[in-house]
Order: sequence, then structure tokens, then C-alpha cells
Amino acid sequence: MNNGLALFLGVAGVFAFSWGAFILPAHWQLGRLGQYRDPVDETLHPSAAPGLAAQGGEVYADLGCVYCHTQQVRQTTLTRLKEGKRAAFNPDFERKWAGDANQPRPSYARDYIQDRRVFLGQVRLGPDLRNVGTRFPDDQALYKLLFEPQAVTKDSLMPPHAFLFETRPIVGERSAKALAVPAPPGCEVVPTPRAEALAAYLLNLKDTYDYPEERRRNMLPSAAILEGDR
Amino acid sequence: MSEPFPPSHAPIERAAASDDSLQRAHAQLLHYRPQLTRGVLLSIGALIAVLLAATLYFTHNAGGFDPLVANEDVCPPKGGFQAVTGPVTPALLGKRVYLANCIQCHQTTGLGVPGTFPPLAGSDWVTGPEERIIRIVLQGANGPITVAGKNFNGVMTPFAPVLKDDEIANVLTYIRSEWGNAAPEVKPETVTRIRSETAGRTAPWAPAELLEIGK
Repeated sequence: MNNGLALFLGVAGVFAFSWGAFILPAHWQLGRLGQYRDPVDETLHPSAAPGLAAQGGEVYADLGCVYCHTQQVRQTTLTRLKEGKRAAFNPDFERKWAGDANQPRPSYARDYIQDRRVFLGQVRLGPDLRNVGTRFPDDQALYKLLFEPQAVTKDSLMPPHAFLFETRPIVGERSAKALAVPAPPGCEVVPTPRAEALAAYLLNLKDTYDYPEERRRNMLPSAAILEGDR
Repeated sequence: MSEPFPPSHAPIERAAASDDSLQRAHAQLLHYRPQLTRGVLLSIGALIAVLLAATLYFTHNAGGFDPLVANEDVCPPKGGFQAVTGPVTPALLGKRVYLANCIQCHQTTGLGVPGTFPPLAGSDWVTGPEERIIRIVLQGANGPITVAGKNFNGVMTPFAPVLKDDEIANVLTYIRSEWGNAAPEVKPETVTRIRSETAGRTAPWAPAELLEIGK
């Protein structure tokens, strides 16, 4: 081969260019974020997802949930007219997507450092799921939604995921995991392992820990927004 | 002399091959190797160096980018945010205990629920003798009680089995210094002493009984 060195340098240059432009700056800016140690009870935040929830992340990726659901709570303050005056409001906070109702907060970069894959998403055909674990009391409520979303929310756009469940004849006692949905006589609907993993993953999605330093830097009085005339 | 080309192409190729100048030109091209000159290598190296420098420059001048800021409306101060890590005080530790155990009745504001749960803010029971308030937290209280000029008649849960001595001391230090209260802090040793003094007791205290203590 003629000019092997030039070819090598050219290929290396192309990769170095994209690496230098996209990977290196991001790593310099965000790569040093680590877990935060709570000064009071010495726990580390965020914690890694437990085993079943980590498996559920794979199911989440496999089913393509990310195409309709985001996982990022924005702190975008908008203003609207309220009784003749402009008032600031935060759409994501108003939809109760921001975790703890008493201390709503946006998603911080640190929230994602333990995620094996980050499902930020781009399209919000469905609600944001970053804090879905705070909105569902248990896995049964999630199963019901996954099995037939239209039974929970009448006009839901979500496709039914009945294929994650198994209708089987009741042998002996009814399964403790059986869904409270109509089933043929003598049968019951039970979640498959994939559904259980997905539910564990979703219930584990909650950013309720409030990082003090992040809170301090992200708080902005709504009056400042109004003054800034946004 | 053997025929160099197949017969079918013979008329054309023979004519071409006989052209001396063309043959010389081919020979030159066949031996041509573009040389990686020093200049080419230097310019590739310079390009990579410029790229690295540009990345560095961009990263350190990215409009005050801060990985901890998620709010697009926040404009960081000149020179960036300064990290603030305050000292961990007993009152701070107590606030956590308070938020976990007390706010259901006494609320985050310390004002309680009028008519049902007494306030802690501005309460003489909180800022008064620590002997009384420690007993209330340990064994609870039951019966009519007057707090900040209002009458209440409810039940306070005993926390002796739930909270450790230092947790009780911290939470009391917190409520004695928050919401305008200004009473000295409670030491864990005091809680330990009173816990051992009242070791046998499980019944909640009556307010009248407490008023006899720490007079």
C-alpha cells in the first residue's frame, strides 16, 4: 500500500477531530461530577439502580419507551397572564413531574451519573418519566396502565402492552401478582418477568433527594423572571 | 520478437506502443510516489494542535457553564459560583430529625395545627426548662395543656423507642433556635441522664405533672 502513513494520519485526524469536539469538552465539563455525600446521614446520592431495576432499564430500551417519554424535568419559567397581571409559572412543576411535591426541582446533571444508559428522550407524547416512581403507589398500578392504558386514562395515546402479560389457567390458588383486569373464566392475567423488571425500573425512577448546592444555584425568584421581561 | 499484445488489439496497441514519448510518460507515472514532505506532516500536526487548543479554549470559556446549574434562567455571577459548605451544626442535624418525625403534627413552620396540635414557635414549653421538653419527647404527653395562651388537649407520641439520645438533643436544639425561638442548646448527656432517670416509666406525662419539674 502506498502512503500508509498519510492514510493512518488522516483517519486518526478525523477521529481526533470528532473526539475533541464532542467527547473531550463534555468530559471536562461534566466528567468530574461524582456522588454527593450527605453531610448529615452520610448517604451517597444518587445511588445505583438495584438489580431488577437495572434489568428493567434494558426492557425500557427494548420497548422503545424513549421515543414517546422523556426523562428530564425542566426548570423553564414561563409567564402568563393571571387576573390581568403577568405571573411566572413552571409547566413541568405544575404537572407534578418534579418529584417531591413539597420541594419540586428540575433534573440535575448529577442525577444521571449512575444510569447505565441515559434515556433523556426528545419527544413528549407521553408524560415525563424521570419521577414516575413518585406517582405510582405500587407495581400493580403500573401493570394496570401497561396492560391497557385506555382503562386508566380514557384518551391515552399509549399502545397497550398486553404482550408483557400472560393469561393462564388458575392452578390451585390465584397468583398474588394477578392483575385486577377482566380475564376468561378460570384464568388469570399475570405479569411476565419482563413486565416485573420494567415496573421495578419505573418505580425506582425518582429524584427526590435535594442536593443543597444545586438547589442554591438553581433557585431564582420568580420576580427576577418578570423583571427580565421574558 | 514476440507479440506483446493479443492479436485482436494489435493494430491500435502496436501503434500506441511505438510512441516513445508516451512510453516515457508511463514509465514516469509508474515510478511516481507522492512524498510526505516535512511540510505536510507539520501542517497536520499544527491542525491537531489548533483543534486541541480550540477545545480547551471553548471548554474554559463556555459562557459560564456550570455542571450544577440546570435552570436556563440562572445567570452565574462573574467568576462563577463559590462552593459553600457550611459546618454541620447540631441544629442542622436536628432539622433532619424534625422533618422526618415531627412535621406531621407540628408542621414545617413550627406553628402546629390550631386547635389540634400546639405550636413550637413561641412556646414556653419549648424554650423553658429542658428537663420538661426532654421528658415530653421521651415519654410523650397527654392531657389539657396551655401553649402560647391557647388550650390544647391531645396526645404527643413517645419517642424514647424511636430516637437516640443525640437525635433528641439535636432536634430539641433545632426547635429551640428556629422560628424566632432563642434558647440554649440541649446536650446529649442531659438526654441520656433523663432517659435513665425515667427508665421505668412508659405512661405519658401530664402537663400539670411536668410543671412541678424544673421549677
